[in-house]
Amino acid sequence: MELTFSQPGLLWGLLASALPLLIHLINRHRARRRPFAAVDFLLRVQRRSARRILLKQILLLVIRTLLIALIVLAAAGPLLIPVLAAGDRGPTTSALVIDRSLSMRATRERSSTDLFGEAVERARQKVGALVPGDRICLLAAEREQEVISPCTESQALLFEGLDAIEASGCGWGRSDLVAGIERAAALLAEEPDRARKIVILSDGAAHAFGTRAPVYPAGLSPPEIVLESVRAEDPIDNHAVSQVEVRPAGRYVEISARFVHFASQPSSRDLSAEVLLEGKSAARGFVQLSPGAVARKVFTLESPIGAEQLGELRSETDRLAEDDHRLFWLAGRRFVQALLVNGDMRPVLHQDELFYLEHALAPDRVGAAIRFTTITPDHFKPESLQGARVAVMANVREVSPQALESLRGFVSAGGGLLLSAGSQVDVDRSNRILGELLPWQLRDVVELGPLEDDGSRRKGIGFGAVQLDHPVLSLFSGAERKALSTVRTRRAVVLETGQENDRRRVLMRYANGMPALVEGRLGAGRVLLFTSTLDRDWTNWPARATFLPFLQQAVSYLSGRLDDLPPPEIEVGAGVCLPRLDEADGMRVLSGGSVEAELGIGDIQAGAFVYTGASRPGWYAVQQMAGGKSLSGRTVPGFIVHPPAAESDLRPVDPEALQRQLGRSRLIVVAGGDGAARSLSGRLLLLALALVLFEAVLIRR
Amino acid sequence: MVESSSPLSPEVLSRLSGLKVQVQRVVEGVLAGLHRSARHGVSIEFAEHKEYAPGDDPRHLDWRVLGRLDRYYIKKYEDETNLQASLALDMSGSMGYGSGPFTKAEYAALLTASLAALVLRQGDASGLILLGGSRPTHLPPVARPEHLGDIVQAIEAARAQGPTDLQQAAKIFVERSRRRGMLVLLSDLFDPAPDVLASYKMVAARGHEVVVFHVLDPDELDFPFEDPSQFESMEDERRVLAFPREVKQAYLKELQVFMDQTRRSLAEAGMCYELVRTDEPPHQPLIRHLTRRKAVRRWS
Repeated sequence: MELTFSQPGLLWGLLASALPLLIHLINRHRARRRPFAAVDFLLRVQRRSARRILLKQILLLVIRTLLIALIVLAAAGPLLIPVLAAGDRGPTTSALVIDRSLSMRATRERSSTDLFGEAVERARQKVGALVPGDRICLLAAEREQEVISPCTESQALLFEGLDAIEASGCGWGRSDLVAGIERAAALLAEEPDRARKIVILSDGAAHAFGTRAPVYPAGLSPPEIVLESVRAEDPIDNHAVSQVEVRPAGRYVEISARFVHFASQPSSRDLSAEVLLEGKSAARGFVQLSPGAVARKVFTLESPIGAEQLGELRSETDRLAEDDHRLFWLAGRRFVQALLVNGDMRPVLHQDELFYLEHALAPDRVGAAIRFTTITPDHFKPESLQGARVAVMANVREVSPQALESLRGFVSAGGGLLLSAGSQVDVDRSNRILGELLPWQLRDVVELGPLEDDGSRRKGIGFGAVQLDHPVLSLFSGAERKALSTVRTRRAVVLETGQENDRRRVLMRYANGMPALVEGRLGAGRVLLFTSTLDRDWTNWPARATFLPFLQQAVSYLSGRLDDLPPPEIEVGAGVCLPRLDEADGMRVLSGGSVEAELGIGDIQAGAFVYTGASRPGWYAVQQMAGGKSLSGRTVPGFIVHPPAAESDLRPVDPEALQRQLGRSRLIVVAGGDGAARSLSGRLLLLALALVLFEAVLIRR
Repeated sequence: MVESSSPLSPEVLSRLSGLKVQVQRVVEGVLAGLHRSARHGVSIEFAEHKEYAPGDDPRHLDWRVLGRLDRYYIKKYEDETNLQASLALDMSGSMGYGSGPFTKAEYAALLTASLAALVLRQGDASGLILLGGSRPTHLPPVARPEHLGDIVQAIEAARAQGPTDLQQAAKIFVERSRRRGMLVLLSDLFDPAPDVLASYKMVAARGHEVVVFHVLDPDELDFPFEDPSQFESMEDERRVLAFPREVKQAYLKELQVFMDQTRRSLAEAGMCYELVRTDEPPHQPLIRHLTRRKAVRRWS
């Protein structure tokens, strides 16, 4: 330990401690001559108590001198600082590794400073107490190690480096202190042969060390490692919002939040949490946390109508506030406008061609995501498609050429078209008028399956191969696949199928191999052709439970709504793949309204832009660029960056386990405040106070 | 203590020119004080009759004898008939100290003259022994009223100087007295000689009445000094440097011990002791003494 002063200039005030002696001497010199009759008594007193009075005077002089000296010393801010190098070991080179990971943002108990600030302050104290001949190098350890200052004896250079790291502040990433040790060892290996030491100024959290052992440069004997914890003695109980999932549920949305509590003691009360949408509180709740346990809380909100938006789940803050809130993406509920062309309208509702379709698209008519308008082919005009995203031609024999032309343009521009067969469909006519709208030409209408026993009708056949990876049919990939098996189709249109490619393909077949559902592309639009009917004339599917989700999904797919991917979510420092538009040659990453990065062709991997520079949590918007101009089109609007989950666990490392991990490097753990400079001001002032009391007692005697 | 505006306060008395005038004022004060007292009268024991002569107090006429014999006789009392009072006034250097209007010497002189006036006023003999200087001055007791002028003149001529030798007074008194008498000592008793009161005990042992007025200045009693001071003796070259705040308690304790010892020693020898502060009106210690003396006589 070495004694230094934070205000050494004030030590000149020690000269003031000579004042009592001076005053005493001046008093003696200035003693007033006073004739007095009872001198005898004074002489007797003097004779009797001369020694006592002299002792008292000396004591008072000493006390007053000490008193002034103590006050001056206390004002000068005396600090006891642990010295880096032991005096008898000769010159030492020390590498100070300052942990600047996210967890260092935790505040110290009863203090407004964070752990990072404390670490820099301690580094500053160690540099201030640098013994001549010793050298120090400075590193900042996060996910990447930054050399702040190479090894030097110059305190000025080291202070400059510390000022720089303090100005840049604490990082947001996760730490890798083993990598920090390795980097520090590499710096020490360049030093001349002398005692070497690595001092890690960290919160001492176990997560920072991982599990691997450090690898030292060849020829370097394992240096001594001092892990100096900058946290106070107390454990830091930290909770974190570790995950937020958004699940649409009809007109509602469920926001499921997961909380983790890294603590040794149970929380005395429930944790309050709040969902914020557009900065306003949308829901509140409480979560009961147990030590080391995970808790979930589900907030159910009415799904907002409109565009997607960023939401935030915020819990009450603790000493590490950065992990007490988490962004999430909430896709707004958007309505799909559909135009339904009814080719076989009937007066009896359940016999109507669109009876099942209409009920499937708007199951309860309240909060339905699909809104539609139904017309007959005669009323199909070019303006009928205005505002629609999807058109359904159900069992339509013929429409006007103008309507067909507008329908073609509608699909080419990105609209969706669902075609279904039926009794009104004339194969030749349909091939002629629909033309390129059909994925494949129609060949004929065929009966399917054996006859019933009474010979009255066909039994029909079920579905065969289903492309479960397709967005329309992926919902049948689980147990629901079995539900499709009850569908029986008695009649269907046979297609002139050919080679499948990315412009047309078969999504579902009947058990006999005939196409049941095919997809074609025209321009930017999509066409789905169902080869049977949407009512129960040719198939029983409309009466089956799988019909409703199929149609909902098909219309959503045709409208493009299923293409809206949620933005990727990553942790600070991780890479993110951002889908690229075909014509894009660059991407602009924006954060907080300013451009964070410009990505070019070189950043494209496997058809997507890859960005690895997200250095802080938050929302990053992206713009696809082509020739310097921004593009519009279906792609992710941006991505969310979260704090590293591992940084929330502030439980301290086990020294014995760490020693085993470090191998031959000797580990010294300086816990709590042992490594901190100890201020002696308070003690000196207490001593001064005791002296004042002693003086008062002495004067009274 | 009385207020400084009192006609008998030291401040007022000090403004009166001449010891005689001051004495007159003090004697009036004493007589007035005694009149106010429940036990007024100077003496209580009848001794003999004396034929009236001009100058005698008509209050003492024996009206019963006048009615029976048609002659004027005066009643004489025990004390008055035998009293030969010698007033020993200490005028050594230490008595020159004074923090108020009077030095101790001036104050003691006023008391001495006032006592002499009171004694002569009732027809007793009063003498003076002036201590201090090279040799003491002695005026033998005389019972004539005009003797007061001699006493006052001798006192006014004296100056507080020289060392203290209180034994001189006892020695002179013993050598000159032919009958039982009274020796009144007015002094600060700051005599460096060991057991200075031994000779006075001898006087008392011979049947004389000894009264000691211990005259002290308030400064000596309270030691109110603050600043570091070089205290210098007023009788010789002795001096002492002291920080008053540090020695005050010890000094006061020392003084108190001295006063207690003196008071006890005098009481054991049958002597009267009266502590006198120079900031109190001079008639008060006299009244205190006379009142106490009468009370003692009544009970003895």
